[in-house]
Amino acid sequence: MGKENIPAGQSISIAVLFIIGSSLFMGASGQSGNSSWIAIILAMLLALPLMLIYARLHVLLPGKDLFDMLILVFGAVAGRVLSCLYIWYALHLGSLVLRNFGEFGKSVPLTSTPMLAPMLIIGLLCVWVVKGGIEVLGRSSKFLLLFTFGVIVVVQLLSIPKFQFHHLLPVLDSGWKPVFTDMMGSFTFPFAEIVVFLGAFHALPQKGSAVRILISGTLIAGVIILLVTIRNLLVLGPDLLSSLYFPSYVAVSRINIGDFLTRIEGSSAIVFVTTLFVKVSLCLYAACNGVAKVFKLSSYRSVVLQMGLIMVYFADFIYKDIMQMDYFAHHIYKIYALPFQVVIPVILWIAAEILARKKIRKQKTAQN
Amino acid sequence: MRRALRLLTLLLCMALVLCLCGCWNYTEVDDMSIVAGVAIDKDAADGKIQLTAEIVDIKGGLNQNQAGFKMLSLKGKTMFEIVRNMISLTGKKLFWSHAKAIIFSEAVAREGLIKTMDWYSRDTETRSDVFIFVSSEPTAREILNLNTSKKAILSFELAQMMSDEKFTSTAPNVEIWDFIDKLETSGNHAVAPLIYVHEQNGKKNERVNGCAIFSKDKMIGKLNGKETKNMLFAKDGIKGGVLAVNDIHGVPTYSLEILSSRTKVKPKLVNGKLSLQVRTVTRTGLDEVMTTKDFSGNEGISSIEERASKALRQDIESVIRKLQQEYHADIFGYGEIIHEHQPKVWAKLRDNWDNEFVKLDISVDSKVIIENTAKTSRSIRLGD
Repeated sequence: MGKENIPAGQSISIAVLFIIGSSLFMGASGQSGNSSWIAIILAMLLALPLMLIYARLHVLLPGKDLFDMLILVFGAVAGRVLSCLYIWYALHLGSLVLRNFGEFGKSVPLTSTPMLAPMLIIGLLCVWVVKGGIEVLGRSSKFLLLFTFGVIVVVQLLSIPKFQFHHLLPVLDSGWKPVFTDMMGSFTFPFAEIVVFLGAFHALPQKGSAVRILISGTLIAGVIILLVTIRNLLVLGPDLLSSLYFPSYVAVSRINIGDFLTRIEGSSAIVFVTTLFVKVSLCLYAACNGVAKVFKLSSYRSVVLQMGLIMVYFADFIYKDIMQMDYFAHHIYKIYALPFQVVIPVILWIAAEILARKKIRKQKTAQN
Repeated sequence: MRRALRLLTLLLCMALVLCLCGCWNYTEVDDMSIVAGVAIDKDAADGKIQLTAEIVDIKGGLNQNQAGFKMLSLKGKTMFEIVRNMISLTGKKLFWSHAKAIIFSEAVAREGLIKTMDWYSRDTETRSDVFIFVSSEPTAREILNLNTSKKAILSFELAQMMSDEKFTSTAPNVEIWDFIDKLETSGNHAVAPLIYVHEQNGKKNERVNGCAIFSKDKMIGKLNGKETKNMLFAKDGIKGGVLAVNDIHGVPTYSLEILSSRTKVKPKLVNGKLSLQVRTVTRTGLDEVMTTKDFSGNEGISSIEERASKALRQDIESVIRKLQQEYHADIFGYGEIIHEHQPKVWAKLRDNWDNEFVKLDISVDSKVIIENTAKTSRSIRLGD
């Protein structure tokens, strides 16, 4: 099997769909009421330096993915332990996202279908695409991104008659504190989740492209999330927004163009499914890749089905109910995810820098 | 071996077809009872909720070109319990997506609407764009029951009425969604249209006119149709309607058709004292002149405008005073406007807003502009 390779355009599509993935469903965390859009802008800006760090890793250790890097930098044992943590994180994240979808299906469109059924079907689709390889995922994302853009833009335009701009006033109603809390929330979920993408870094084209991919991915996804959040805010108002599990869905259900174009929320939910599909697939890919690297398998493809089924089953029992899911996503996750997204990558980056310096010095002394 | 494996795969794929053949919860249209509207009453004797549903009867005959209806009524402790128990009457699950109207009886409204409304906004089978009404008659179901004499689905008629309401503006247009939005927003109280039985020549008809005033979720009073229109003027809710204007002697003579109207509310802080300035600008067309006197001179039009503006200002002022003094309820959303423009002042007022609203100094300024005189340029002249 030859080396996998995804061109920059496809990688950007994966990154964008990955980031907007479940936050389109769940909405940004909303303690700051009508200032949540400020929190998203801040979170986006805060994510940019982190993206530069991730991209720098790609420059320092070209052609390697996260697990290679960990094993190379921290040694065979410590590196494998950290890799296991990341395998867990990718697997867990994939399950969380699947569960979001499952809960959505359970509570809105398919109330008497067991939650496992839609999750299993999406899960098997993800297994299929991951087995096909990251290139397949890249190509399908590029197409799905166009589709997603189309639907979001159309829905955005159709919602304009329901916009009530006074919902934005007064700016910073409850002060800066909740804005910063929300900023942390939006930073960890969804922006910094892109750390999972590091698990597929070996497939990126050569040097320097990672900066472009990560930065433009974050910016495009950030703008989409911002637009959707502002739309939800303008249509629903900050008070009602905070009580809803799936604000986007309800906001779209308010659309009524001349009593004719109504009830389109079902069709707009397709976007949820497409973005979620990309997100889960990338998580699954990273997890399988990690397993292959840790256990020195010849190909990650032999574990895809097993990991995929574990992910689906895990998603089924990970929460007791939707209240727990909401609490975890908006309160616990921002602390839980921080080591994976910031602490370990930053340590890895510093260690890799030192290693690279040493290498250069060694080369110099060798030359002398 | 290879062929056997292929066959097995094919068989497995075909087995998959069995579970992919459509929706899990598939229901045929004739297995559902389509709800058109509901009336909610409270039984005074045992305190139970009584729910009356108007159901579209989809059994159509050859010579029957309109859908029929039937009525179901059941008592119970909670809304959802009744809704599910109705299966024991119909044998079919109720289907809520097409419901258009909910009518609450006054007793239910006075006791608090959250009790009966929460299910409707929470459940996933119902939609939040249904119109709500408060019955001015003793019960809510007697209004739905009018359909027997009218031979038409009343809820759909009501929905039609609400969508044409913008041409009269004598009742607010309230969806359950707006109502809950008002409940959740601070500095704003909700209203809901009132519905009557209008009887003439022994023929009964439903009539939507006026509105019920709520404080939190409890109904506390009523406004009649004219007051409701002035209330809508005060909160920028007017989309159309008619303004009747007197002539110099105080006799109603002219009708102005409202083409558009805008209300701007400005909170002003002068020496630490908050006051509100309500300004309305209404563009109208002169559509009726019940006199032969000439008005075509510029003065004629401008004096009509002046009189209309003055009358409108007084009307709006009087309805604001009424709300301040009688009901202590800010149904105009002025608190919300203060919140948006003067957040610091609002922080002090917020907890005691109902009392602060009573003391608030509100000045009204109205301007009525006549833009056209419809088809004719002058009043009808009598020939000699």
